[in-house]
Amino acid sequence: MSFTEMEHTADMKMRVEAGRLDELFSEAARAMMHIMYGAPGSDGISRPIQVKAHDLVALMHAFLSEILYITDAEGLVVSGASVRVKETSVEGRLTGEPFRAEKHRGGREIKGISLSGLQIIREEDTYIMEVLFDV
Amino acid sequence: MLAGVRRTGPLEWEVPVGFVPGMRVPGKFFLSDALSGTLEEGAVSQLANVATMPGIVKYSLAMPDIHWGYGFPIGGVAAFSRNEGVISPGGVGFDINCGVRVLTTPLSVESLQRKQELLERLFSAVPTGVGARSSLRLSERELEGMLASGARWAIEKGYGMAQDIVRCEQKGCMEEADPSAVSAKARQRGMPQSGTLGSGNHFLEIQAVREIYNPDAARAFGVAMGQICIMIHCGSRGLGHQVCTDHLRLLEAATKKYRITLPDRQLACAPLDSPEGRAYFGAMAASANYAWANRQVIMHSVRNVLENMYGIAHQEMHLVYDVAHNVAKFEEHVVDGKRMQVCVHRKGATRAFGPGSPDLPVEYESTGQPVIIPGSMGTSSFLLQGTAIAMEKTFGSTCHGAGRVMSRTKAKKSLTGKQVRESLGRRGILIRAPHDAAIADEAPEVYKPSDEVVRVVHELGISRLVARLEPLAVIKG
Repeated sequence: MSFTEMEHTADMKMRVEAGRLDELFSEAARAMMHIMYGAPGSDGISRPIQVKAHDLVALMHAFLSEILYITDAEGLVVSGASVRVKETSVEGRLTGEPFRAEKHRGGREIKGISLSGLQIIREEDTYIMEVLFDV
Repeated sequence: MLAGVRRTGPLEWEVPVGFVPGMRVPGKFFLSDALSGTLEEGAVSQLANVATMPGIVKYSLAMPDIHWGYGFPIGGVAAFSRNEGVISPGGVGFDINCGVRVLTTPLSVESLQRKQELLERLFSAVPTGVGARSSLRLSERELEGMLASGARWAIEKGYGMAQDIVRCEQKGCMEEADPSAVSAKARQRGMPQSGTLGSGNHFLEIQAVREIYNPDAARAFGVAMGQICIMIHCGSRGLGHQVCTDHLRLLEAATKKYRITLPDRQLACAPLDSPEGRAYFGAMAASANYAWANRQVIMHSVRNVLENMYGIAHQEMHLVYDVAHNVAKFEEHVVDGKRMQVCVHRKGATRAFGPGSPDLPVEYESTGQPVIIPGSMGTSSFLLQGTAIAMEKTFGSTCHGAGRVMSRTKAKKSLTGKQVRESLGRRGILIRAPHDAAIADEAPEVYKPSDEVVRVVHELGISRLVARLEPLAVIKG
């Protein structure tokens, strides 16, 4: 797994690592869904996603926030994201399964993605991100 | 205690200007020695960060349930000058007007029959947990009404009684609400979630009054020894979360536009009189109204269940009060001897207006505002009263709850939902949740002891104890 839970008293903090920026975004989406639903499956549902922002951190924030909105408003439990990241935009597709109370009701709601301490750094060949989810 | 923090009283600590660069006022927090071990360095840094924001007056404050959040610390209170100050979603949070209300019943511990059935019926009546959907079918126009009029909208629709209104902070409605600043996305999320409890630390609890500290105030609040009460804790659901997310983005741009330098991006803000600041304030107020309407609708469902089960008329079940925990509001306070209008941000803090303050109903004019401090799942909740000291010291504010001390990651490793359920069961406390995982997350062990937190605010005088309520049965979101 390329994401790990970190200690945080009030909320959920995640560290995400990936070799490429595209993967970092995909893994961040999976990390968020891991908090919400454990390990969701996919039954072939796919939908496009596209967001824009002025810098990389804002882009990550906008991307995760958009997935949160899609999950809540459309009832799509996202299990994977295949995306292409450019300087100020990210686009691609999300896959997942429809929310079903009997399977997903034990999940944990995320209220929002915090900008506090949200940073993306590159160490040698690895992109590393720490992100705090308000739960 | 952390290096650089100074003790200024038995329960008071100061974070001097210079603790982080750019502080405009000192920070101040309230903590007993018993609680000082729970203080995180991150929370103190956040308290100091708030002190760097333009237009902050007097102090950046934190209540004794202070802990590490994002933007403001949880338990944070700060007031900003109307003319030179800013407004920030970092001082309100994602769950706008997360709050709590308590309802009295004519039932007593001795006369409460069929507790398990009551719990089940309440669980069925109030949609709970992740993905829960409302049985209300709101039209867009009705949602507009909820956003503009809050609890008043709910009562006009038949969810409650006229007398409930004055028992809500701000009469359950911020008149400054601007529904046009609430995005289509936020509306889409809010529409199916009105009247739902949510998840996380949100709960609905059947409680019994077990101790009365101030008989006169208890009488004014309508609570008596042994009485059964219902406490409801929830907020503005996905609508409020989306409003925070949307405006955080807009205010990030505004921070640059107005050349405001901040140590934390979550503190993104804009001058109160700027178009961006006004838009956020209007949207936040509309979300706060949604939350008040939400709690009103839930309380109506609770009254229906009690009426059906025990034949109790709605008029016999009184709302004691409803308080907001996450909100920013314009209020008048005395700063350096002068009355001035300020925008008070309370992030995980409760308004605690003293006797004679504006916005209190006649029956609470001499007692001060009822303050409701929920405990954790197995621990006591408290009713307190607002005080003149709070008006002087904390912009009329006090703590909001127990405050977490254990992360969810650690809670999950050391406790299972089943263990917590059994341990509460041995103490006679029933629990109902959509899933056991939600129970372990919120076990009593993960919170500071609520009695120590309220003891501190009582000793300080920023609110005074009136009554203690013990849980008998809990619905966890």
